[in-house]
Order: sequence, then C-alpha cells, then structure tokens
Amino acid sequence: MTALSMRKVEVPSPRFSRLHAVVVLLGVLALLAALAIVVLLLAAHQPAAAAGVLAVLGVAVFIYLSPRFYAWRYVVPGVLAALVFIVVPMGYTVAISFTNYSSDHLLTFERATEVLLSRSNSDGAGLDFKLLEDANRYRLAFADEAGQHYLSASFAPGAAQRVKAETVADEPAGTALPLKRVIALQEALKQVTAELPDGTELHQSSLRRFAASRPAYTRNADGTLTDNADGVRIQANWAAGYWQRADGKTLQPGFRASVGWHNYVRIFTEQRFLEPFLRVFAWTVSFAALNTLFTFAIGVVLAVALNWDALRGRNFYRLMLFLPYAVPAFISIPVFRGLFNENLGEINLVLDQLFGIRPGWFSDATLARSMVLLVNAWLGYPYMMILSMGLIKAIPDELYEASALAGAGPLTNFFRITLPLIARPIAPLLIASFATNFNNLTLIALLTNGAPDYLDTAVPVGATDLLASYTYRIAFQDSGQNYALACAISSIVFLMVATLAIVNLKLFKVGREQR
Amino acid sequence: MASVTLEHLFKRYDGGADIVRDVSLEIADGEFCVFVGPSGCGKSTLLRMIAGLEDITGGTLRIGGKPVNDLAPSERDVAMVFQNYALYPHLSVSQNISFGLKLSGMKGPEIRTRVGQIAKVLEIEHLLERKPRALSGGQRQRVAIGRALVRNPGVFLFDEPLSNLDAALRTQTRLEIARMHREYGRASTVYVTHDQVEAMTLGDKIVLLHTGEDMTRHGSVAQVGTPMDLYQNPRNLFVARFIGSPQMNLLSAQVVSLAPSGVTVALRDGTQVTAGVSPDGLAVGAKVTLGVRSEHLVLCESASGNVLGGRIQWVEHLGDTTFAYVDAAHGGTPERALVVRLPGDSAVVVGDAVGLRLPTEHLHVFGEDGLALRRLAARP
Repeated sequence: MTALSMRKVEVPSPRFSRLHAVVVLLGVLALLAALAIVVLLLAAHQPAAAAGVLAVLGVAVFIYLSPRFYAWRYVVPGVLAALVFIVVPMGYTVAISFTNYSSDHLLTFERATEVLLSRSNSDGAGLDFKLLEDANRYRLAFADEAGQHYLSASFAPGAAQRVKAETVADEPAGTALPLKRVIALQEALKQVTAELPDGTELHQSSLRRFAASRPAYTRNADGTLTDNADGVRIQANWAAGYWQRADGKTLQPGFRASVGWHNYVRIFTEQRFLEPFLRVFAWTVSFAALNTLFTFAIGVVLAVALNWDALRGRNFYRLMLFLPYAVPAFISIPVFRGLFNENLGEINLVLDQLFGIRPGWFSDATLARSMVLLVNAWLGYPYMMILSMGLIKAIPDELYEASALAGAGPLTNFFRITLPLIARPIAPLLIASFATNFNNLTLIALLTNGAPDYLDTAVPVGATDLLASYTYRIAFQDSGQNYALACAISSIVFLMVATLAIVNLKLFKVGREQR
Repeated sequence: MASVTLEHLFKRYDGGADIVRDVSLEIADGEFCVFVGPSGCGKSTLLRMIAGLEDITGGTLRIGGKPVNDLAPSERDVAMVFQNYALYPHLSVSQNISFGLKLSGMKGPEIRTRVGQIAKVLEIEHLLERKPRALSGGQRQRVAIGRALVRNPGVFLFDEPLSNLDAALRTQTRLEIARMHREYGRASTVYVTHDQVEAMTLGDKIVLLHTGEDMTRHGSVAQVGTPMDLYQNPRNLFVARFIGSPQMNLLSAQVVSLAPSGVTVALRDGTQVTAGVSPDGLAVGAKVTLGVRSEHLVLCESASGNVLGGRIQWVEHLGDTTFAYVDAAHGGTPERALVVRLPGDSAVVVGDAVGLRLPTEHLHVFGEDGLALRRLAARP
C-alpha cells in the first residue's frame, strides 16, 4: 500500500525521468500483490475477506489516482494500519465475547452436526477378516465365532462399492495378505461395504475385523436429528450451544452460538467469576498505580542526582543506571525469578546468612506482590529517569539561582520547583505507564505466573495475577479454555485502558493550549 | 543598608585563564554602582560572585564589613533581579513575590502585608493572581524587581535587567529603577549592563571593565568613577572609545613640542595642533593619539590655529542634532571620518569644504601605552 502512495503518474512533470518509471513500476507491483492476496483468499474459501480486500484496494487506488484526494494519500496507510491492527482484532475480540466459544463449543454448528451424523453404532463384535489377492482383485474372507465362514465376491480397490459375501463351508483357500499390505490398502477397504447373505452390512472396524454398523443419527426433513438407537428426536439448542435430546440430555460436541451479554452478566453476577475478578482488578489497579509511583519516584530522584553539577563521573553513573533498560525483559525477569527462588535463590541465601530468614517469595501473597513490584520497579525506573533528566535539563538554571538567593535547600528546590515544573509535561507519560503496566502480561507470565494461586476460587487465579494474565489463563490454561469469557474480560480491560487513553489525550491537549 | 567591599577579587575556572582579575572596589551604603563593559569582560561573573552564585577564586568580599566569601547566597543579605526574570512559571505573581519570605519563616499575615505594599509601589496589584506567562515583558520585570525588593535586602543586584525589553519600555523602566532607588533606595545597588546609556543615567558610580590583553596587563577594572568623570577624563583609550556616543574622534599624531601649558602635536598631513594636557613623561617625537569628542569640534572659515581642513562626506539629520562626517584626509585614521555634532538646523551639504577647529581645552592625548595625559582644563 505504501508503494502505491508513490504513484504520481498523473502529476504533470517536465520530463519522465527514471525515478518516475521506478515509482510507476512499484505502484503496479503493489497493485498486483494486493490482487494476488484477493486470489489467495478466494482459493482459501474466504469470499467475504476477499471482497473486503478488493473493496479497500479499490478505494485506495481511487484515492491515489484522484487529484481531489491528494491530502488523503498521506493518511490512507495510517488508516489502513489502524484498521488492520486495531479495529479488526478488537472487533473480533468483542464479537467472540458475545458467543460461547470455548473448548466445549469449539466447532461451528455445521461441523458439529457433521460430526454427529458421521457417528455410527456397531452391533456385536464383528467378524475377523482376511484379505485374499486374486490377480489385482481382492476377496474378503470372514469367519465368525461360531466357525462359520463367508467369502466375498472379488473387487477392485478404489471406488466405494458393495460386495456380496456368500456362505462357504470351509475356510477359503489361499494365503491371507500380510498386515503390511492390508495397511497399504486401508483407504480402499474403508470404502467397501460387505453384505452378508442375511442382509447385514459390514464395514471395516479395525485392521483385523469388519463389523456391522449403522449411523447413530439420522437427519430429519425439519432439521432435527433422530437417535437411531431409541428414536428420540434431537433438537439444536441455540441458547446452550448443544444438540439436545427430548429428555434434556445434551450431546457432545457443542457448537458456537451467540449468547448475548451472557459472558458479561456472568463476570458481574456470578460469584465464582465476580469475586476473583474483583480481587484481580483491585490488584491490577494497585499494581499499575504503585509501579508508576515507584518508577517515577526512583527515576526522578536519580535524575535530579545525575543533574547535580558537583557529581563526578556522571556519565558512568548514567550508563550503569540505564543498563536495566538495555537488558531484554525476557532475560532479566527469569534471572530475578532465579534470584528470588525460595530454596536456591541468592537473595534467600544472603537473607538466611544475615538474618536467618527465608521469605516465601512465591508462596506468600504479600511477599509475592512485593517482589513483583520490586522487580518491575527495577525494570521501569530507567525510562522514568531518562525522561525526567530531559525535562529537568529544560528548567532554566536561573530559577534555582533565584531560589538559592531566597535560601532554598535541595528539598525545597525539588518539591517547590523541580516537581511542579516537570509534573505537567510528564503527566501524560505517567498515565501511559499506568496503562502499560495495567496490561503487563510479560512480567507476571515470566515471573510468578500468578502464583501463589488462590485456593478458594472456582477459576484458576493467583494473588499476583493481573487482568491480562488472568484472562490469558482463562483463555489458554484453564481446563475449560473459555475463549469467550476471556474475550469479554479483554473487552472490559480495553474499555478501561481506552478511557485512560482518552483522558491522557485530553490532558495532553490542555497542556499544549496553556503553553 | 550595607556597603560592599571587593578586595583583589579573582575568578578563574579550573585550568582556564582569569575571568575576573584583581578587582578592588568600594561600594558605599546606598550607592548605585554600575558594572559596564563589552561582552566577555566578566561583569556578570563579578555580580554573581557578589551574589554567591559563583565561587571566589581569590581575594576577599565584604558585605557590611563582614567577609562573606564562604557564606551561602541566602546568608549574604542580597537580592537579585535576573536577566530573564527567573520567575517561577508555576506560581502566581503573589506566590512568586512571597516565595523567599515563606522560606525565611515569615508568618502569613505579615507576608500578605509586605506583598501588598510592594505590589502598590510597583503598580502590579491587579496582577497578583496571574501566572507569569500571562504577563507582558515589562510586567514580568516589575514582578522580578518586586520579588527582590520585598526581602528588603542590604544589597540589590541587577543582571542586565532591561536587555529583554523593547526600546520604549527600556527607557521607561530605566527611569522607574532610578526613581525607586531614589525613593526606597536604602540598599546599595550593583547593576550590570552592556549599555552605556543605562550606565551613564543610572549610576552614582561606574565601573568600566575591560577584557583580553588589557585585563591581563591592568586587571579587570579599566576605570572607576562618576559617569561624568569617565566621560570627561577617560583614563585610557579603551575608556575613551567605550564611553560616549558617537565615539570620540581619534587621530594619530606625533609630538612636536612640549610646554607647561600644553603639548603640540603634528597630524599626519603636518597640521600642528596644540592640546591642553600635561606634558609629563612625554618626549618630542613620541607617537601619540589625539582625541576629541564630536560636540567639541567647531566648523570655521579660517585655516589657522588648531584648524583642520576637510570635505563633508555624509550628513545625518536626527532632528535635534546633525552629525557631519568629515573626510579625514587631513590626518584622521584612514578608515574613519571625523564626526562633528552640529545643531539640528545646520545647513551643511555633502561635498562642502570646511575647516574644523580643535579647541585646545577639549583635546585628549593618549600616550603610546594607551594611557591618557592629565588634562589641564579638567576639573579635579
């Protein structure tokens, strides 16, 4: 799409340079690439997506070719990116939150029905079979428990076919094909229906046996199913997302169905969801707030110290203090996990040597939360430090000289001048930090994975779980794998963070107006 | 309320050259002293040394007779007005003014009284609740002065306070600072500027600082004195050039004869001019510089008796004054024409041939080392 933005063929130009040729070529290539995506989507049986891409492509080409929309050319890539990376995933998440999508309701209605219809009931144990070869054609020789033998007509492997089997007195002559050959002929054998003289139909049920089987369910004209075993009617229950028998029993697998606000209602009314949700929510808010507070406090104090003219080797300190930010979280968090290990970790080793204590960093809720805050403060303060350093540098020295003449000490300078002056420019960044930490899945997933888990809740959730990791566990780790519920929680989190973002933008705007 | 004494003050940064060199100075109680000089002469540094914002490398600084070298700025009984005002942008005007009072532990009611008084004096009562960004440059200036005044300091320091104002406001504020000092000025004042008009109009005493080689040779101070003293009796060429606008006309010359009543010099074209300066230390044949201010040159017809001939190159009419630039072929330094100050209605025309009389009693003579010879006509 960006390549398209360079198409400027219709702009009059004194001469058609090589650059123009390259630009046109790139534009045509981009166009062809987009058309290829349409073709691929059609091949993957996604006509709706293909139509969508085609429509977007049409609009984009129109905008890039029409001089009337010249200014829009610069906006289109951004709008497309926002659509693809924000609107579509968010819309998908919200859409799922209104369904019952989970491990119990994994399939679409059509697929679930197909699964039921393909089920079959077997009668009896079946008959042993041997495969006899006869000049590229095959015969099946059956033997039942009573010692009765049957021999089928010869058949060529390939198409689905019925073969009649006749009663024979003795075991048919010829050697049975070895198992290896039988396995090679599996596909063909699966399609063979053998009919005994009494009319029983046999299908292959294992590598050695054929068994009589009938479909378990039959589809009726009105869309319901009938259980062939007892003739009970089965109806699709769209509210529950199951095929349901007249006697109320539901059949697996369930199918995806729209359940309206059910998931949201569950979160806020069902005690077993509401109670852990509230706990996690409270911890998430306090985590994000405390962490923003701690990182900012440490960062700004260090920034003030590093801006102190009399301090020697400032560059060295700055480099060392900035290092935590340079180490990827994927490395530093597991390192901390090891350091805090209750039995083998260096921290408990030192504490044990000095004070004779071994705190249970991962088993005590308060300690675990303290550790999470500690580790994240370590990870986060360099960012705040660098930000604050820049802002503090922008404060004129004269202000501090004036305050020095008035008799202000370092504390007065910090609280009466530095802090109020950087508060306004840094406020949007603090809110952004709050929002980021609100969703800090990485830290929790790598450090505690929510531990210690609560023992009194129905869903798996721990004392250090944030909403993000709680959602993650519901979606991917809970035995229920409740995607829809997880999506509902995600949507709520999205709403909260979006509100923060709007507040942030408003604050930022006000700040700019007043400057 | 406090005198300021500087005894051989030096300022030097680590491993660098002297910024301020050997400044000794006495600023009397209640005196208005102006530090003036070209940029880089260390005048602001000297002021900041008095304020305590810069360390003193050498020498002793006394305020009210007490050595204050090692005292913190707030303990020196000084208040300062900064070039960029240094108002706290997040505080209102009244909070800005009361900032120092609060820190000194003054009680709320008294602070309010003091702020009210100062606001009245400076006519900023209606601005007290505003933030500095809502004020004009002149208003900010008043607030900055108010913040310094309210502390009732012994010494009042100004660091180029008018340099951010436009010309009209600058004149007005200059007058107000002068008025304030006259009416409320119990404090000694040190005022730094690079503008000689401010220096001449405000100062009881001017300290002219110089820079570069002159500083290394003679110390930072070029001349200390009243404004008129510096104008009439510049101690050396630097002072003569710096003070006065337009600049003093300078002509290179050679001593022809010496007499107790004056020194006769020959200009480059041979014209002989007699100047009423003491001949002490001069020898016949010495190279000197002859100086004369524009208002002392007189147009005349005759061609004898301290008269130079010339042709008018350019004329500037300022309304009240006319400046005529006279071709300096007769002995001015080649690149500069002589400037003559004439009455506003003078009918001089470019191209006129004129005679310029150099009055003996108004001539300055500077020796080869740049130092002025004592003028016989000058008042002591």
